[in-house]
Amino acid sequence: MAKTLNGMALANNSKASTLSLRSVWVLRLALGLVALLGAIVFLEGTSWDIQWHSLIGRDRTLIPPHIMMLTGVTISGLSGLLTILIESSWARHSEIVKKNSTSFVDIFYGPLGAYIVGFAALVAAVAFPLDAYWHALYGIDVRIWAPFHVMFVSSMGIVALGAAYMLISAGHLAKRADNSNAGPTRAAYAGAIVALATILSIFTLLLFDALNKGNQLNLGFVNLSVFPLLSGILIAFTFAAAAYAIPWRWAATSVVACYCLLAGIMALFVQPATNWLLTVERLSYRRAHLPSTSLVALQWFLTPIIVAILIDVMMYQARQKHWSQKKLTLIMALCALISGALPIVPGSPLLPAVLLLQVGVAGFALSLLIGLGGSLLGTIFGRNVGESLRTLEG
Amino acid sequence: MRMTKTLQFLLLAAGVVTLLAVLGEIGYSIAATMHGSTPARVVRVQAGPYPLTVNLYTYPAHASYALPFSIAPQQPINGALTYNVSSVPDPTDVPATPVRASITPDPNVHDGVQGDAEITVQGGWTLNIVVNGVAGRGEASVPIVATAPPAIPTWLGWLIGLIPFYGLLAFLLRQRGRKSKQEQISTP
Repeated sequence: MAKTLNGMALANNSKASTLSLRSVWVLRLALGLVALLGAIVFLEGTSWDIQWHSLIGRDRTLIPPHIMMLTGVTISGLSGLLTILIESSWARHSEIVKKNSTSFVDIFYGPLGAYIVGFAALVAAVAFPLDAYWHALYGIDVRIWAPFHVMFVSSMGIVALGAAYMLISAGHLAKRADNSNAGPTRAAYAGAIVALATILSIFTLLLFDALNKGNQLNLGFVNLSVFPLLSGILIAFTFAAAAYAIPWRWAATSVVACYCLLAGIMALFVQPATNWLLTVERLSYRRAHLPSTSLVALQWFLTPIIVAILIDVMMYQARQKHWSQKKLTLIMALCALISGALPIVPGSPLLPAVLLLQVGVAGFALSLLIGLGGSLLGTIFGRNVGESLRTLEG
Repeated sequence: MRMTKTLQFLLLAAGVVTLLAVLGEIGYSIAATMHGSTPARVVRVQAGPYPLTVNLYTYPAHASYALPFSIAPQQPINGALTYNVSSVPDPTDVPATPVRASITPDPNVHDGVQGDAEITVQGGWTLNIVVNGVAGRGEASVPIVATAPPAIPTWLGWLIGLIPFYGLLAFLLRQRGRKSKQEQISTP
């Protein structure tokens, strides 16, 4: 049955289809991977940008890390746009394309993910000049939690979500087109796992400031940390989406492995690239002591590794023992809360103790309680997204 | 959970307007680097042994955009001159870092250069010019004022900055609706 954004099914006439299902899934797989590549380029560029700002300072608007970030936005945006334009053109002549796509204003046809990628990349493209305007007003030393940083980074996180939708849609169509060849479906699922890891990684960039003392909520009688809440939502969402969308036993663990790999890439390239560019641009470092690797990689949260493994084990147990959905949701949320309670990072292993000392025992307990609410919300949203991904176009 | 046709058209219109705004911004940024035929401000400075004329093609400078300029010796100089130009923020006024300007030889003026200095933050800056030639090294500073468009309130900044989250939340809630709909369909 055809799916449309306004819920109306398209009439299925007997017009001969001129395009095979194969063309559609090949297009979605290829451009879904390109959109994902754009999000990864953005992520790595942002890590470089944080290094540049911390060690050198923000100078020109179009410094190489910014160019890298904008390249990621452009790659993603164009891949989303191309997918829609190509499928819309195909849909004029092919019922098979129409039937397996989502229509928009009855003009455009394409996978739901491509619309998400396109709109999110467009918002990211708007965020960049707005951020330059914000810097022009308030100077160069604004924090990560500045309005247009948040807009820019979160948009590209949503691009990665759109890429996951495109890839899973391609996987479903490939399976339907040729059930005997599991290769393309496997490739699409692997791509979706990398896309989910990219979502986790990009939104992780926004988690760093949640640990700043200045961002704690002072209720008068107690200080609250927002880190368990935000970490709970993000971790629970990503791993629940993976566990429900990908029919593999170690889906969440695969996501966290890719999350570590993405940090590994930062650790390898960011500082050498900064050193190289410093020489080329004839600049100088602002501080005497330089890190050996990427500052972002040093702040990368490690607890999600344990959480992902636990979630996969719990999912397996739930299927074996037929747990109720409520029980599974609560257990997954509790697992996700571990990452909010114990923010362990390579550069500062005692961070959980610092957090406890900053907010006190009562504040920590209350922060965890609110964090549990966030984890529950994240689990529910992640489950819904995972289930909708399972039943996507095709 | 249906997305009405009206909402779809509104989204499309918003998308088109946004795309045009982005393209307009890119065009404006490129245009900002272009040198006009008439300078907005002409400053004569003495850089050591070299009397120079500095033409600024936008004045006051627009913060976060390039400031096109050209530098030319006021009288013929023996030998070649090399320039090093950077925009330097006033440390008491502007929280910014110095930016090296990009310069190219001016094809119309012997020993002259033209280039773009980037001014990242509003406030007081100076255009620092270091020139080297057969008569030695000279240095001069041209004070610059950079302005920015009127500031929007912080709350409005956040209201706009959180747009991706409104979209994400609406999408996530829609997935919930889609799931309920599927459950209804599958229930006999």
